[in-house]
Amino acid sequence: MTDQQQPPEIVSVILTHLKEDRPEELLPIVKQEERKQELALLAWDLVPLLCEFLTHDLQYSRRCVVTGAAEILVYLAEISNPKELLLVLLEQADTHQDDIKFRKLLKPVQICLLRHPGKRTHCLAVALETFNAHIAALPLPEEHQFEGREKLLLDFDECVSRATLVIPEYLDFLQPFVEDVSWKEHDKNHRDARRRMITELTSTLIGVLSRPLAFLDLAHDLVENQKFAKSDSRVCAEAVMKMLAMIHPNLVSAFLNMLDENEALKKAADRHDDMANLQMPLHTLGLHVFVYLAFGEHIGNESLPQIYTPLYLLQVCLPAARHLLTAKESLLVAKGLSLLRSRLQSFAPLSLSLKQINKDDITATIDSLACVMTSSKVKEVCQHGVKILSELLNVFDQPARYTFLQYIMKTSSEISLIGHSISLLKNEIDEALLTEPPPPCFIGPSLHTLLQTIFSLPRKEETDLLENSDIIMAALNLLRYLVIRDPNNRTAFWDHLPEIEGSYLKQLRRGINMSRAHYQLEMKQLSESGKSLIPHDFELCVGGKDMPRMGVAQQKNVIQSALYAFDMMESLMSRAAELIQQRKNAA
Amino acid sequence: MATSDPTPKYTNEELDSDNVSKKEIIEYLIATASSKFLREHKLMGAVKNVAKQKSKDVLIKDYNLLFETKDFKCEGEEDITEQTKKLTVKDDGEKKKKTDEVEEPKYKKRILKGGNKVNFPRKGDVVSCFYTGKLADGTVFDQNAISTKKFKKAQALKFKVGVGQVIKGWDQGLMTMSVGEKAELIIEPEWAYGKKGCEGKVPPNATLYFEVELLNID
Repeated sequence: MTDQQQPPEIVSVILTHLKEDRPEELLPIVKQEERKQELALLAWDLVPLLCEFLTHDLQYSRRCVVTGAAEILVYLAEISNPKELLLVLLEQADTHQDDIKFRKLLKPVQICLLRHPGKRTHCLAVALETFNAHIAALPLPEEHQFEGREKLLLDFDECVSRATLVIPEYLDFLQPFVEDVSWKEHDKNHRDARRRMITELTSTLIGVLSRPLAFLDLAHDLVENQKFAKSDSRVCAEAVMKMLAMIHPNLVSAFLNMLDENEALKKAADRHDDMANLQMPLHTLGLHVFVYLAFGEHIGNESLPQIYTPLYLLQVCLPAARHLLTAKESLLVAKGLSLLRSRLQSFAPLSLSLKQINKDDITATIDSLACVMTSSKVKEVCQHGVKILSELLNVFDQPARYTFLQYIMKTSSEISLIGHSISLLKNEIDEALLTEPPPPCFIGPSLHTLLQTIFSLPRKEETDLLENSDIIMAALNLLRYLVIRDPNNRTAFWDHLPEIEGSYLKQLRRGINMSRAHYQLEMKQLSESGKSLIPHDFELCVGGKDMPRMGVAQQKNVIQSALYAFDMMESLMSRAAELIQQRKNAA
Repeated sequence: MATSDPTPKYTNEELDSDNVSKKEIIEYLIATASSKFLREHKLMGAVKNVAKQKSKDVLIKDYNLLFETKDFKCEGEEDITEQTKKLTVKDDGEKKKKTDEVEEPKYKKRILKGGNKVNFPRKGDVVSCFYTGKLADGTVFDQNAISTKKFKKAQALKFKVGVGQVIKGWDQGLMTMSVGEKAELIIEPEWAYGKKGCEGKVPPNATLYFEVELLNID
């Protein structure tokens, strides 16, 4: 300002009008042709003053003031020296506290950048750095653990609605720059500048995907067989992908190039090279969400050449799917599941063999799925995981299925997963017996190897039957199934039956008797004394949280359900024994 | 392991008489004896062929031996042998089909513009090309070349050839092209997206018509 005490008349006029809620009278005054030059000179001083009106509170109490101030900023951007104004605008953007200031500064900055083509690439990079920081700092929604239609409620979460309001405006800001470097438009001049712009814009868009979009629901599934309107977050994700597809004609090679570049940058950073200072690696999570949207949700299909094999695309997507599956947030896990499922759906059953794919990739995926199935907090996600494990096995041929089932049974520590794998084995045997001759991996010596694992108790009769009940029940079901389904010994299971009867069934029977006696005694003590069996100084802690103490009635319930479990085991075992006896008598 | 052992159908006198033919004995043995027994005594196969190879005396010996050893057929065993036969035939068919595939590629190539006939891509080379993919009805399902009135703009597609990244019709077809060559590849579904098709763009069992120009080899 020319004089600290006495600001130029126009500045006072602007401030007074804004303070007195009369912005509509202001614009005709400001936009007078004769004031243009004066304003252009004063712009540097005016911007900070105008920015004071861009606040969240005013937006809700005196919206017209915010709009008025923003309009003057836009006008200043149109008439002033773009290079100078850009500096002061970005300085303001750097100190933004709320979304209103961020949103209202986008337009003037965009105008300045477009009016300043000479150094646009460099200036855009600076602007993006400032704005990206705001986007990345947007708060993330809590874990709501919604299922099915409930997920539509996510749009009402404060954090989600804030993100879905800010992101479209940011994308509008990016639009002209994206169009500028689109592969459909580009000319061969300024190749380096274009490449730099592409890098900056890609990094920005991947950044938006990584945070906040990764943590929102981006799916557009059938919910209860109905396709509901797209959520706001999905609309944002589609817009981001559309832009990425405009920049990159081939999403597959774009993704692989991004991965390679990231790898190179990380190596450079390890070596403390100069290169590391020039460019930041892309957000891995953003890249994985990108893969999910492109190959799981089929957004940006127009930039996906239809020449790749399903196997190649599966290999490209597997690392991303695994990474998403191991996330803590259920919405990320759901993305991983959906990506994996969508890739698996492009295969016919039995179409892959172990020769075609790296076995470790699949076993690692099985491990991740196991984790989802056993520890996800959302029931729908767990169930989805169980289903996808079957779908994964289904695309493989029988020898591969055998290998993976054996892998689960031998390596997993998750009882319920092993139990599930035994049921899957039962399905395989069932399918095998329908063909003639049955595939060798589900009969004879190969089957025997699996049966040896299944029909064994880790600590013989002293095994904790309740803990292992999923495995025991599945094993007994399999036994009963084999006796009924294979009376003619096509699986050669009868050759090994004496072994199973002699050790496993005997130990199990003894185990059930012992455990039952133990629990019955506890029940008796509990009923007689009416006092808790848990010592007073005993505290149970799960996941860092103290569990409430169990009352006598609850303890009784627990013991009763244990007794029921033993009854179930015993009845299943007796049924199997009865069938075996019948078969023996018949022979 | 049948429920009860069958009783002899014919007495020795009957067997010796002309009332019981060789054919009847063979049919009875095939129906009653285990496959192991049949195999060991060369009784497997068509009744006519067995009858040619064995005299009636030998067959009577086999008949008596069956009741001595009690090596009868198990329940359901007949199905197995029957089904094995069927399946063996089917297996042969599949094997034959596989060899056919090697001999007869599931794509056709029509050269639209000759290449330099010097540089042919080898397995694992990165190739660049322009392409347009159409379905039988002429629908363009994919392309990387956009032609406007004034000019043609395109972004070359790069990929590793011959290593299974792309559909088999491309992998094999591209290897027969030299730099500069433009060809039409008509790819049968087996070497394209097969029964499954591809995410809304390629319907199931679709023959694909690609116009491919091999620009260069990296």
